[in-house]
Amino acid sequence: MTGAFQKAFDLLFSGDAQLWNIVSVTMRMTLTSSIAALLLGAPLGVLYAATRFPGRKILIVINRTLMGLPPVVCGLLCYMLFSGVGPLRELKLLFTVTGMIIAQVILITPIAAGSMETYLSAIVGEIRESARGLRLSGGKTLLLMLNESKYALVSTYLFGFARAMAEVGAVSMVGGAIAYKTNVMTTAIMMYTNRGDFTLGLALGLLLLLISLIVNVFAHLLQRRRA
Amino acid sequence: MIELSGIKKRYGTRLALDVPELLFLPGERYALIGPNGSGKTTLLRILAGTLKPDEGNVRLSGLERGEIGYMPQKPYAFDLSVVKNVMLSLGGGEDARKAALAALERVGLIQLAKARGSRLSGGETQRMALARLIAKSHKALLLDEPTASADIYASDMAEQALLEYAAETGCTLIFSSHAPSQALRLGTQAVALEGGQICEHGAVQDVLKNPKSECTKFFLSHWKL
Amino acid sequence: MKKRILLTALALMLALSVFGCAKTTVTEEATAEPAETAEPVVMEQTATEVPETTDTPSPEDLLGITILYEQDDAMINNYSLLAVDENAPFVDADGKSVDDVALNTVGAKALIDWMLGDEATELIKNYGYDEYGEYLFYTKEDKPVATAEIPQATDETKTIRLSTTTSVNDSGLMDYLLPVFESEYGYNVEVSSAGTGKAIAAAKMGNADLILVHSKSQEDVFVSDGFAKVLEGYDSERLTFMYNYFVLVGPKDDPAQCAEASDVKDAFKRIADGKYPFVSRGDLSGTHTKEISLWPEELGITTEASSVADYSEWYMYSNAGMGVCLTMANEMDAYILSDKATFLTFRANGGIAG
Repeated sequence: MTGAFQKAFDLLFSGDAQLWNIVSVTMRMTLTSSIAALLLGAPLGVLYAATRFPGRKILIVINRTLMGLPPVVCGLLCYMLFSGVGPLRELKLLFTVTGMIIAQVILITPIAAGSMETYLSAIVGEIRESARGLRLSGGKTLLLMLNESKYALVSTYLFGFARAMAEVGAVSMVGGAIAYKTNVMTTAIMMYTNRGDFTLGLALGLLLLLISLIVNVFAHLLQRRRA
Repeated sequence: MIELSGIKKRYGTRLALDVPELLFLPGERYALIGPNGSGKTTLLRILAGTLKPDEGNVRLSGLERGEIGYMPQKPYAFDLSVVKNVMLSLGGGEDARKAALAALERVGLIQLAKARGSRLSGGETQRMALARLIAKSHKALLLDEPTASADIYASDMAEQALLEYAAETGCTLIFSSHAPSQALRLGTQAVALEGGQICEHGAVQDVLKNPKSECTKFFLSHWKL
Repeated sequence: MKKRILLTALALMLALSVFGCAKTTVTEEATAEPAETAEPVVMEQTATEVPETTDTPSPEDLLGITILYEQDDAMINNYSLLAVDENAPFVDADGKSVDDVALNTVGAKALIDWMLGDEATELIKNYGYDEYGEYLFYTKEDKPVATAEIPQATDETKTIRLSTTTSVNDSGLMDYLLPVFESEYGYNVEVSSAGTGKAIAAAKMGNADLILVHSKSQEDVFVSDGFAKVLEGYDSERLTFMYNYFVLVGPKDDPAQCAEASDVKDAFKRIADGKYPFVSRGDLSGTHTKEISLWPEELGITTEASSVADYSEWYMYSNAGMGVCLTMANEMDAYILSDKATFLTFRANGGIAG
């Protein structure tokens, strides 16, 4: 095994053009997907936890179900929508990074919403009671709630980031793993492994873990101030 | 004056509160006493308006909802500085800040003014919640076990601050306590609750030193006054 | 706090390297001498490989399996190009017909013309020789000939979508050929690869301008369904232009004695009779369909898993890609039918061991 790890490290630092293209497409896609999902999902989660509106409970159940949407199913649905014969063919999203991002946002937004909802619903009762007792307005209460959830926001984002980077089912279907265009780390690992080229697969896997580690360390530092 | 009539509140099938008639007069300090689950918190919540009764209503005369302050059993410490926590209902500005600091002084928390609210201990959080209320003037204060988490020293400071505040503003105090000794120190009137019903009420000296009903006697038998 | 973070990071790095070193070198499978056994039927273009014997074992030696039988006519694998017809009966998911499917017919023809031209033919013939010392693809003598002038790319025709199979993509031939075409004529070819069935289906859904596959039966259906067109200058929708061979790979000691078989079907019979372990792709790929055609008919082996249920003690229906199946075969000392390119890459990497 040492030989394989050695070769992997050599390749990582060799500056191979294709490898770095794969990495840059991955980062572009992952960052966009995770941020978009957070922007869409976090307010939803706050809404689910903090407000009461008709149909709220149903929406929460639907959200929880969507959290378990298998990536490959999402990929298949998007593939059929964006296909040359599909209803959204005019958008020309198949085999593009944008298409992959859309598929990932569909997958991750419910997760972001669910994560925020879980965190907030634990504290929303107490916050409300104290805010009521102090006669604070609904708007001010909401702002306070958002302030309370800023650390939850970070961990929710990280979760979304990790999911986006490690996802392969949806992006391989929608993106087609086209070289120098829609090939990301996970699809590349799958492709090289299927070929029998385990060295490159391993190199990419290590790199993926390394990036994950760096992001998590950074986020941990950010959360340092929490008691 | 706050008047409760025909109040009933159920949780599932259990009748948690059943108060046909209860009057709170201005300027008095009411101690709600009774074992856990007797309905003290439910009663306070209905008075505060955070809980709606199944039957009955609360009538206010001489004061408005906005002039009633409420401290729940578990006050929430926001992730802001302690002084900002206290200023929450005061708005901004230098005057508000001064009032907040003065209140913190009274409850003995002035040294923690810049500390992070979320990092306080239970007792400190309760005193901070108290400061939040006394930094502003109210016509009535509802307090659910305001010193439950405090040690003797802190409890003492809180009680002193409350008494001073009540004396200065003439506001009505309605607080629950599971220590009859606190009822004696802080209250002028006592309301004894058991199983959601009022078993006795009257001047605090009468109720606690010469209880008439069985339930009050039983509850007090565990304490030496 | 910072100290703790640094320590955690260090611990992780340590764990990674310890884990890497813990698995000491090669699982001693290849106890036999490193030299290749039983060189099979030799055709004109095969070059015999001379493995270098040095002190450190070459990757070939780390593998327990090697090529035992190849280049039988039954193992020929023909590759064809088909251009997608813009007037094909495209339907959407509900079955309603779709008229406005966007296809790059100009680009498709340009690529096909080039692939059938002299430059591409030369490149295909020589592909793989430098790296592996073997030819991976052969061009057909009777292939269609392109005569048209190949137009340069315009903004509209720049992007060409080629749908092909994983075996073609994995061989690396496209990575080798296409850059030449692209730089000469300014096109950008997007290659998507999948199993044969899916590759053809993609074209039927309007997601490809042309396909490159190697399964005559499925190609014929594609044509008869009306999805392929006859390009100007050619006679047929199916443009078969190159071929190669599958190889029968197995353990170096060759217990079934496949190397001595009279033809590939005989070799397969020997494996079946002796119940020697065999790994099947089991994924309805081109390799899989070819493999099932080589077993003795009495066994009744088809692509269905149920047809091989009785043989489970020696026949492994794996449903996985070529590289993965080769690893399985290597670890279990089993026989397997493989495309040559994947096997050579696999061998050059020493498989997963070491």
